[in-house]
Amino acid sequence: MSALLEVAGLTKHFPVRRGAFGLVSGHVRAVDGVDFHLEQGETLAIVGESGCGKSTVGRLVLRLLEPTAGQVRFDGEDLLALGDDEMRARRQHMQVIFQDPYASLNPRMTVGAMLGEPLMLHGLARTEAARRARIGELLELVGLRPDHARRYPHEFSGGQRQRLAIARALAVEPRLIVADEPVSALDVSIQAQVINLMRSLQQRFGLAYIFISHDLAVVKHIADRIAVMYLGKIVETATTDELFRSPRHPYTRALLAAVPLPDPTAVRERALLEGDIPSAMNPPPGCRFHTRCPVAREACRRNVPALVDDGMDHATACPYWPEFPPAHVLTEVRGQDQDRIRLERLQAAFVSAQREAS
Amino acid sequence: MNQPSEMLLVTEAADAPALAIVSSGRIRLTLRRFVTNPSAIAGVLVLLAMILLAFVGPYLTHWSYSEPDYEAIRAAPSARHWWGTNAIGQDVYAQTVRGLQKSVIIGLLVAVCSTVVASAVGTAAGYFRGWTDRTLMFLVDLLLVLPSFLIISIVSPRLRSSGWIALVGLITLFGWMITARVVRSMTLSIVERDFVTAARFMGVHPARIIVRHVLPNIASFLIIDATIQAGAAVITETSLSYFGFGVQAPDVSLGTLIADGTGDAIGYPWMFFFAAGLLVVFVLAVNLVGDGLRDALDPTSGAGRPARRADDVPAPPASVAGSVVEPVVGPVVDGPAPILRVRDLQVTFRARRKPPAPAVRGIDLDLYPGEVLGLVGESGSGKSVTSLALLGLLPGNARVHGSIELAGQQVVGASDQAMSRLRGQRIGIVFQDPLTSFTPVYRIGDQIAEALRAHQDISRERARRRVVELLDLVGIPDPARRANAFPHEFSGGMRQRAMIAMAIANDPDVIVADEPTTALDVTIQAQILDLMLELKDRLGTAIILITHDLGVVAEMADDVAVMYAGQIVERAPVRDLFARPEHPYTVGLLGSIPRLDDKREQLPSIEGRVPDMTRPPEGCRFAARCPFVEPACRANPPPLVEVAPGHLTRCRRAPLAQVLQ
Amino acid sequence: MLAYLTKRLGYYLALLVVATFLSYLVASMGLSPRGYFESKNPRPPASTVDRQLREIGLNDHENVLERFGGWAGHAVTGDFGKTIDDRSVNAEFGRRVGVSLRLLLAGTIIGTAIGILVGVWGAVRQYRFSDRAITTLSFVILSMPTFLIAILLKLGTIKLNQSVGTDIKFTGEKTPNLTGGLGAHLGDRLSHLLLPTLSIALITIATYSRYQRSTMLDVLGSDYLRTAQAKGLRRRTVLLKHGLRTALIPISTFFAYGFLALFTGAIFTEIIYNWHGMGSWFIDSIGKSDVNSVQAVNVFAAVLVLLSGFVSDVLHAALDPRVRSG
Repeated sequence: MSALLEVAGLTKHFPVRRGAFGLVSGHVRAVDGVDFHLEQGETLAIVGESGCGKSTVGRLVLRLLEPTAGQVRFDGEDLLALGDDEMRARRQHMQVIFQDPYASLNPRMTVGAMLGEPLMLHGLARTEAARRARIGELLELVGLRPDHARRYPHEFSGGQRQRLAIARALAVEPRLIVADEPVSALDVSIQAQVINLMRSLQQRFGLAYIFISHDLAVVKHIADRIAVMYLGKIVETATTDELFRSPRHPYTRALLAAVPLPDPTAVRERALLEGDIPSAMNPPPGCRFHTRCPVAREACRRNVPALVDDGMDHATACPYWPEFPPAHVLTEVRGQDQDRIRLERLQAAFVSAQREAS
Repeated sequence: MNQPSEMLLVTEAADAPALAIVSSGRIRLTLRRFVTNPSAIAGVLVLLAMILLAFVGPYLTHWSYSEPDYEAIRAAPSARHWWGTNAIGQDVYAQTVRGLQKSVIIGLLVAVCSTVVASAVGTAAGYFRGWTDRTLMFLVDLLLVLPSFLIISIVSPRLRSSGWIALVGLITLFGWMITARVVRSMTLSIVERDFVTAARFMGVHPARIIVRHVLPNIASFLIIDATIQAGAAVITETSLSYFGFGVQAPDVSLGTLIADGTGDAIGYPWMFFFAAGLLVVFVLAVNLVGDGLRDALDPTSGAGRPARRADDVPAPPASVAGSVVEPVVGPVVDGPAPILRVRDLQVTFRARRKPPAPAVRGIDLDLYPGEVLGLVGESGSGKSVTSLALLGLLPGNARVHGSIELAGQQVVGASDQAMSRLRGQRIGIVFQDPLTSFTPVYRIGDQIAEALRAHQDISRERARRRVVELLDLVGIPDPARRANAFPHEFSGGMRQRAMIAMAIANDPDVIVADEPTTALDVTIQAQILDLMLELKDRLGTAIILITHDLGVVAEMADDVAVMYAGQIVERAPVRDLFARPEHPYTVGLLGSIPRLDDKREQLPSIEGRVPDMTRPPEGCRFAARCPFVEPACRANPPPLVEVAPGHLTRCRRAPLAQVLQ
Repeated sequence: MLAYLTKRLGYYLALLVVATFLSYLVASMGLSPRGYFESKNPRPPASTVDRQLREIGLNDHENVLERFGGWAGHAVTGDFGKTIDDRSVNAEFGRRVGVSLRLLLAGTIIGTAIGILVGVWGAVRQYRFSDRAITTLSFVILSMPTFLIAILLKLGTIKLNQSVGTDIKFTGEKTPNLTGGLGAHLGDRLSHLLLPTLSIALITIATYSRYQRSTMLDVLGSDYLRTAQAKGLRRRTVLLKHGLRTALIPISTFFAYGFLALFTGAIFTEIIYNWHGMGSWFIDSIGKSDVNSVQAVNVFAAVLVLLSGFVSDVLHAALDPRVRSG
């Protein structure tokens, strides 16, 4: 069975226009040769900091932007070869959720109208009654009520709006959803609600997610596999457990080390990166990370490392990784002392309250 | 046409709705706001009266506007001729209402046509961009350059036969451009928004996107603009008619009447002032209505958008002076004196047409030299308000009670002069967004030097040298050159470093850091946090670190205070808080955050939402969301009690271990 | 930045060319110079009329495009042809421009400066009585057409002169045949300048104060003002040095529009007060079907608009460093 989504050599260069006549003076190499695949029902997270190109990848996969080069195969079919009408039909299978819950819903449309739009466009639910039923169904799926269809987006909180965005994405029964930083703009305690929702929907409908985020902790709770990007390239991919247990690429390791843990007793190695993220218009030669890499060598400036799979689904774009000491294990579950047990039991009360509420 | 009033009001009208977009579901709210605005109501009433006068008025008199009464030439107002007669005996009342009618009709027609044309051109240019945009904008600019008044003056007299309809067309032709420009820029920004991307992605047809997604979101602006256009059109037509290039004889308009009456204005005032007066009153009424609409549709209050300010009264930069003063001095404590002592701090925001919103209720804090206090909370908890209160930087509609003692000086109620001595010297602040926190027009080096010279008597050269030292201290490479750069030329991390340099410039005792790393990438965040710790050790500054990120708190803080709904609900040394939290909110918070070092199947989340601050519940504010709630919890507000040394909590069921039995 | 300004200049030139052509078209087709000649008493023979028309380039047997070509050919060398009374357009223009400028200058400068300051004042004192008073007054002024303001001032002055006995003059630029030394002449001119300046200043103040108030309000809510205060600067320093300076940026873009409005208003003011400037020249020329003069004024107006647009671009770049490097 072939993968649901196969991406090969995906590239996007944005032209930069300067000068009196708008001549192209350079390119922002936002995405530069990215390969990955995604199975049905799986969540692939793409993580990285600003300028790494992760959001651009999401848009390229959906053809919201036209790639400069590369291939995107959905269900075996090359999306880039399709015409407008065919592409529109395929779009029923893939949907998108954006970051900003305040900007992703039309403030002038009722929730019902907004959910009805995709239904009408793709010819699902032909009658008024069928539409209304489906809309009610969708609202309940995301933890809201059918009578919410009459309301306007501003009457909902940020977390609820994000649920509405999810409902809109589900309306056409897609197989793939690209979620671009879906919880970053939400309060921390609300993030959990939305993540839980996405997980349960995935289990129920067998959805595949491309989950784009800068927050590794969030990604840990929803992703099956993770791809780490830096300056337009993927530097490491692995299953979630494997990535957190033994990160190989120096950037991945630095990224993990940089995330502050909510545990004052934790002792951590601090391989702090120096300096700023370089500009994507003029990426460093050779390995793009070498200017900030704590273990860079002479050769790193000349050679562009390839993303090499070790045969067990763990690929790294750094040939020197076997030489590095094992990363301090910062991701193991802490010991079961008294305090821990007490805390877990207290928190269990929240989980059961949650179940009662839904 | 290009009357100053028109351009001005149009540009203003674009500002309010362009900032945020209001839903039509709030018609009732908008109406209510409009109705409570006295000048708007006055405008509407006057407008209605004028329209009545214009269309019903002519029928109230038997005189026609052209029929001369030879027995009464230049007669003063009387029962026979209500508003007198003019130089050839025509009834001024009949003429004036007829002129009003003409002017009103022309004004309305121009407003409607001009709005339609402007919307079509503006949305097309903004949506399709590329050559469509360039061509349309060239057309707009061309029409703006052509001297409209001059051109109409040439053409209009020749169109005698087509009458005033052609005049409407001409005025419209030269009146839609500025509106089109504004519509275009509004369309450009709407089209960027995600919901349009989503619609495009779905495959919705461009025409439908414009009609269903773009236009409704600029509707408020268009309504206001149409109103203003009406007023401007009347002024234009009047001006043209005054000079003979507008409405032609024997037809009358207010302009022709004013022209006729000017010569006799001193001797026979009625021949001039009725027409002039009606003109001014009409346009004024129209503008008042337009202004009232803009105020009513103003979205910065209410749920339309996450508001920066607490209220729709924008704040002049205010000191705490001018707000109610009730300093409360707390008990004296033995041992090393706290550098900052806060007792029973309360902050309430007053709002127009809304009940007051208490943002902070009774906060006590002690901060010791060299200590890092973490202030944790989510949005609405009041943590940012607290930080601003410490510096006396709350907006003018804030009422502050309680006591804030900084290095022995009272902040609450202090004068602007006293506060400006404290700020930047004893207490500094690092804000969340370094881009908007630096003045865009001055160089970074100059801004930091300004901070130095505000408190130290040093020369420019010395200040300059010190600036370079500071920039070096915070890790900015090539500091001498970078000091000459403007804020927008720095990256986010560098800017935040510069912000920190500015805050420590005068070696303050306390630094308040309000979400200093939230806007930064995680690897940059790590650098900044490290920098702050290093500086703290080196300079001995106490830090109040305000954040929602528990990881940051765990790494940086010595002591933590958790805020919820304007109160401190728990305070403890950092290890105690994480190991043995004694407030259900803290428990829930710790449980709900995704962590790197833990994987759970289901993240426990806290159901529900923060309570409405204008109508707080009777008892514990967390009761509605607490899984351990008992009836007694809802009855009385729980006090802050000490359950372990240095560990305070506001839960009556603490210590929580007993809850598990 | 140089590239940016050059691009703008090129664009403006293109606009100017098209606008010039269109206005010539309108003037030629809308006016009838032949009619003017033929209406003279006694009516001249057709051959004379033809000759006169040809001499000033308005021969209507020629195609309009040819006429434009002829006119443009001279115009680019700086020769704007002859008026319908066979005088030099350039000379007339020179005379008139000076008059208009003298009328405008004082009022504009005073009005802009006061307007900006009043706007800042209103923003800082938002919703207090002084702000409301200023806002209301501005509002009323902006609801009145320029010519009406000029007329009302004139009427008011007449009344004032009558009752109090002052002798404020307002007709024309100076009293003809005035005797006396420099002082008397200067005083006379100033007296005549008073009302026009007042008219223009009032409108300019109303316009700029309102606009400045709203941009100032935007700035007042900004983060960087808060930072400036947090550094320990006094309130006045914060408002003026950080607030006003930044609030001036949008004004620079408004300047272009404002100037356009000013120009139109100036025409009215000129005519009401009988100054023999560009405005009255234009009106008279229409009456006489003097195409060349009309065209000269049109081109002047267009150039002014474009110039103000260009100045506005330059000002914006000068005031806002973000535009310069972007």
